[in-house]
Amino acid sequence: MTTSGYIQTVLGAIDPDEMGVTMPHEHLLVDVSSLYVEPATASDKFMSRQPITMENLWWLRYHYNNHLDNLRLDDEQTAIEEAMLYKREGGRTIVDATTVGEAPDPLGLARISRVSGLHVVAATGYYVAASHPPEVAAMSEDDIAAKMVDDITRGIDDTGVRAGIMGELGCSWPLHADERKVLVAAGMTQRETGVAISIHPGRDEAAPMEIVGILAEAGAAPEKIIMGHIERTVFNLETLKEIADTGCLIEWDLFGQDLSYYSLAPHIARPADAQRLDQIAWLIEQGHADKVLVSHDIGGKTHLVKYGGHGYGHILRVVVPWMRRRGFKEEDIRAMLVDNPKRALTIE
Amino acid sequence: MSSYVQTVLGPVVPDQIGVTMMHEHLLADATVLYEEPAAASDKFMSRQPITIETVNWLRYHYTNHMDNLRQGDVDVAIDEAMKFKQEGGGAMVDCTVTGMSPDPEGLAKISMATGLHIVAATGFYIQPSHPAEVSTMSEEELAALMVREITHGMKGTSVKAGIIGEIGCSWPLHPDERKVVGASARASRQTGVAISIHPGRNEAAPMEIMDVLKGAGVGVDRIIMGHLERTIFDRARLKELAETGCYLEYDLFGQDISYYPIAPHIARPSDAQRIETIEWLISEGHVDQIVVAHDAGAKANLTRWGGHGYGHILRVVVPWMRRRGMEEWQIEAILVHNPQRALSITTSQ
Repeated sequence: MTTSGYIQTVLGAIDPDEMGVTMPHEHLLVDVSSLYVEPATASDKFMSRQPITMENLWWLRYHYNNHLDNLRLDDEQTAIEEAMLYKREGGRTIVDATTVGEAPDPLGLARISRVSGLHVVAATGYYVAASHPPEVAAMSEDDIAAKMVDDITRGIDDTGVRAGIMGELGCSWPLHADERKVLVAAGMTQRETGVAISIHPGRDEAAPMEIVGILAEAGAAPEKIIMGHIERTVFNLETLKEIADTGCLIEWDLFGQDLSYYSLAPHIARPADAQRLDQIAWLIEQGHADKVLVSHDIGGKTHLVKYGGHGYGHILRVVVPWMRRRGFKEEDIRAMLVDNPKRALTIE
Repeated sequence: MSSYVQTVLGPVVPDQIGVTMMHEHLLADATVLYEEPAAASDKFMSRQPITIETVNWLRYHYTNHMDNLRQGDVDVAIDEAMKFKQEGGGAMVDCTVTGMSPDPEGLAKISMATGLHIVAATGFYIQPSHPAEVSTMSEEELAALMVREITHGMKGTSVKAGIIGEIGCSWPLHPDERKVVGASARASRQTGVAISIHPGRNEAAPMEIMDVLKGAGVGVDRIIMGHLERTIFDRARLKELAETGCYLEYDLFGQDISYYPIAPHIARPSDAQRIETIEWLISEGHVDQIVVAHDAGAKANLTRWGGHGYGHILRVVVPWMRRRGMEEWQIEAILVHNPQRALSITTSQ
């Protein structure tokens, strides 16, 4: 074997060719209760404390962030069962993009990987400033970089489980000073370790280019930057092209979330899978098939099949056959699912 | 000259009906749409009860599940209809026609229990659902049958129909469907009742049907063209239809899954895209022709089975329309005044 690089999974380094079909932005175990917003009215408050049942889905889907329990994926057994729904469709690897602020659980991911047989990549880094622990404000760029390098080379905290990616790094709009500090540290760490950076951009069309600029200036290689949540951020095709032209990867990672009403940002009409595929087809036409990544960003209970959602297997089960029917080439589908994630995550 | 709306409990003064959903199904059996899945594991899923664990499969296979396509429980219909009433709803048109097991007395019970005005329909759904006699009946005979259901009562009951259709049209239009469209025209001209159309899934279908109806002398203010969001995608074609003056119905609100299992070549639009199209029609001067609904009939569309239910437009869509800048009088036209005009039956003297 002459590979010069490897993929860092929660169970150790693997040959990049072992990675197979990869979802580069998911959460197997996560607590995003930092997103919780207490409803204003008595009847919505009542609904926010109801268990997640079939009869309550009509409310939950339109009040995603008004229900604490919905914002927690904390049951390992459920995570294993849901991950198996991905494996049986042909999935091999899941990147768990859970970072500080979202209760990352490296040992839990290792257990899920052992039981499911899936490769799982764990993340280092920090989510949006609103979720930062207090010490982040006092840390310097060098302190943060040192911590991330340690998570990557020695293991996250004292778990012995090494991170194989940085991020999702949380960015708000406008970008918070502490978020900018994390980005600079990530750029430095990227250059030092070769590990990729996954970005949760602020909800503004201009956010991705600002972030790519900061990362590149701090030393990050553009081809190691993954710009996430693109479908709720960039609506103008010219902006999309501009981002792709920087060389970074572009991630449509909200597949399966077809509700156009976006409770987290009601001024945005969120696109559906059909519109995601339209954007991707357009970018491929522009010669950027090697920049496209796809994922589900499963991050709430109602995204799981167990709770009425589409689950980690949706892209392989529904979207890929649909891509074929719409005339996507087999080589481009393979690029999105296998080759592009492999290139991004390979550590030289 | 006086006008009334024919509800399942009798005639009602038009300005009493309030906020109206123009295309729903409270009690229906649409198993004519059922398609047996090909693969063993999908066959297994098609026979599973509807639970929170299976509703996502259903959303992508809603025609592959018999039980999903039937809703005959009057108590369930009452509970779900109350979710519309509690949001401010006043009236619903149940577009369930022959081929989908219409239930006039069941609708009367739901109306009595909920206090909602309900309009029942006469007519025939798509050809595969037609009873055998439709193929041998003449246009005149079919028209006479519809007139009888409007003037005397439906299916041997005293409950009178207040609308014709949804009249089922396939693409290409089947000769028996064309005959039913012709009969609907006759019945409408004779009674003054409006016709609601389920067009075939082709951009040319609505204008073809309009031509048949107009050719038979039906006034455009008696025609409601349904399911437009899954039928017309081209703005020029939409403008052409709007220019005829017929009612333009966006009746799949709440169904945001873009993958359309019964027609995978069509990317079904979301609520956001429905609203954008309605805003465009308004900007083109067609506010007085727009009506809306959910076409919620299948179990998976109802809140009890994880769906959005009959209250979705009032609960989610109307506040969103306001936030996007639609004006109150325009919203009121869509929800109240246009349905009121469409459903009004005018008698001379």
